[in-house]
Order: sequence, then C-alpha cells, then structure tokens
Amino acid sequence: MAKPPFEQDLVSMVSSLIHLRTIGEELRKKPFAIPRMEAALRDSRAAFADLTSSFERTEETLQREAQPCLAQWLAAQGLQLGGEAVFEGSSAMGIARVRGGLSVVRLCPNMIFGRRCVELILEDASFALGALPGYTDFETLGQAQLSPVLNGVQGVRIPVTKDGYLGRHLSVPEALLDRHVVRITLPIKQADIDSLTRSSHFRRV
Amino acid sequence: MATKDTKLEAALVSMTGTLVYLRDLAATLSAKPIVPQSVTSHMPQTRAEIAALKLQFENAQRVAHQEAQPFVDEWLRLVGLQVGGVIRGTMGHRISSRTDVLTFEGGIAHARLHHYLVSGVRVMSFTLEGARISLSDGSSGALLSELKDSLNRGHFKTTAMRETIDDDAEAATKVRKLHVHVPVQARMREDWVRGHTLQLT
Repeated sequence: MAKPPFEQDLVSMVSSLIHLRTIGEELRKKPFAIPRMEAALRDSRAAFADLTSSFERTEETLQREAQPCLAQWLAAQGLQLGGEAVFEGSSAMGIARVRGGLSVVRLCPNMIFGRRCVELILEDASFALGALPGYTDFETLGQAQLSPVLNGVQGVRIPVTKDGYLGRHLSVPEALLDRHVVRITLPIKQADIDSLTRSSHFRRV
Repeated sequence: MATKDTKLEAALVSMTGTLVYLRDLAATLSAKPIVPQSVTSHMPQTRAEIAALKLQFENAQRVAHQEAQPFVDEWLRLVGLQVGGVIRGTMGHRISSRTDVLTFEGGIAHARLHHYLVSGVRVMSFTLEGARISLSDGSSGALLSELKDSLNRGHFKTTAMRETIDDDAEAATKVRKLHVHVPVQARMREDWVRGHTLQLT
C-alpha cells in the first residue's frame, strides 16, 4: 500500500519541532546573566525573555498548523478527537488496558526509540487488568500491576499533574492540568505501528 | 591584579559567553530551513514566526552589545587603548632558526566583545582603519588578503588577526575589514605574548 502523503509531512513537521525545541531548550537552560550582572543587563535580559517566549509561541503555532495533518493521521487510525480510545499492553506480567477520551493530538517533541512520534492525550483515563472485568482508576490497580500497559514498547506515560500524578515533563494544555490524563506516544509511520501491533506489546483495541 | 579588575574581567567573560551563545543559537536556527520545503504550504504562520525569531536574535545581540559598552569602555581604559586611537603590535612564528614576524599598526574604528572564541579564548575585537601590515620578508599591505603569497610562503601566525567581508550599506557594496583580537583576560594576554600570538607594542 502506498504511504499516505500526510505521513511524510508529519515526519517533516516533527523534525521541525525537534529542531526548534532543541534551540528553545538551550535558551531556557542558560541563565542569561550571572546574578551580579543582572542590574547591568536589564534590557538584554528582557530581549532574551522575549526570545524565549517567542520560541514557545512558535512551537505552539507549529503544533496548531500541524493539526489538519494530524487529523488525517487519526482518521487513518480510526480515531477521532472527542472519541474514546482504548490501548492494550502485554508483557510477561500479563495484560492491561487504558481507556480514555482522546482530547489532544500533538507532534511529539522527542524521538522515541529513534522514531518520530505523535502523542495522544487521553482524558479521564481509567485502567483495567486483563483478567478482571471493568475499569478503575490508576491508584486502585497501582503502577506495578499496570506495568504491561505502562511499560509497553512505546509506553503510556502519565504526565505530572497538580494532584501529584506520576510522570514526566510534558506540555499539557492548562485545562487538563488537574485531570487524570495519560499520554500515549505512537510512531507516525504505519509500518512502525503495524510492527508494534504484531509484537502485541502495545496496540489499540 | 586589583580586585576591581578581576571583577571587570569576570563581567566581560560572562558577557562574551552570552554573545557567543546567542551567536551559536542564531546560527543553529539559520543553518537549515527549519520547516522543510515539502510542508511549507501547510505552515505559513510558523514560517513567519521563525523569520521573526531571527530578527529577535539580532535584536538580543544588539542590546547585549549596547549594555556591554560601559564595561568595554572601562576595559579599554585599563588596557590603555581607545577608539579613535592607534593599536600596534607583532605576531611571530618561530620555525627552527628563523622567525617570521608580522607587524601591524592601525587606527581603532571600534572595539567590541567578539562573538566567537579565538583558539578557545574570549577576545575583544578591534576593527582597524588605515591599517598597515608589514611582514619580515619585506612585503607590506593594508589587508591580509593582499599578502596571501607571502603568508603562504612563510610561517606567519595570524591567529589574532581576522579579515572579514562586510556589507557596506551606504555604498551598497562589500568592504574588507581587518580586525585584531585581544584576549579579555590579562592572564590570556600574557599567554599570547609568550606564545608569540600577539604582542601589543
């Protein structure tokens, strides 16, 4: 099957985002002036702060302009924003699932295992173990039991939220900060998703 | 060295670091088209913002130079050089029995912190006007490019000297300029004297 054009476009867009992000992170990393110099460098610091916020804005614009392309990608996966999505992970420890409302799709600003990825955010996520019926919350089942789905090849990650959920850094939209959300990163390329599904470590169900 | 001088050096070292850093990041930003050709039609706004980012980098560099100026002025007084004055010195290269020496002299058009490290050293860059370069083989000229043959034949050391081709906005043409780099830190200036990289005279 011919690769859909949006696939290569998304790969290009993620490359752009990674490039911007690399520079932007460098900017944020370095204090612009040693403390003793701050007073003398007031204007420079202001110019620098502007620059940093412009980077963030540019990243957001890129994400926004990528949305039509991402919507095509979602459609090809049989997913849509506002709909429900369920993913399953399996490992030697068993099978676990995560379910939630698909509320955000974005370009992933990091390579995951050398692949350019898309990230999905599931809102009001709930979890299930293969053997047990019904979904419940993360705390009830715990990280260890859920490791099949949490530690799948592409992994499910739970971003830091204000209520102390575990996770790593992610720019989650403000509105989601207090909610239980789950971030899923999937490779852009269908061939990679297929091989992930075949391995049955992680798949959409 | 007096504490005050050390503080000034530390301030200038920090500011040079900032300028080098800004320069690096701006270069990375411009190194390749961030938005690949194939997707430009999807991202007009992103492209516009990236173009604006480049201008913002230039602005940040300009402002940083401006705010560095009082420190640069103080340093110039300390080193005994001034804009409008004259800078002269020698650069040598010892090869067995022979030493190829470059002697220069020129008016100081301006002095600014340099945004590149020169052999890993933070330097002040002096732009010369009416410069004269004399080589120990007897040749002389106003620019390094005029002395290419002699420089290639000999073993002259020109680490501390750089020629640039700049746009001349008024004349709408390119103009070659000669710059001399002087280490910001006294310790490195002494190093350069010992290594025959640069001795101001």
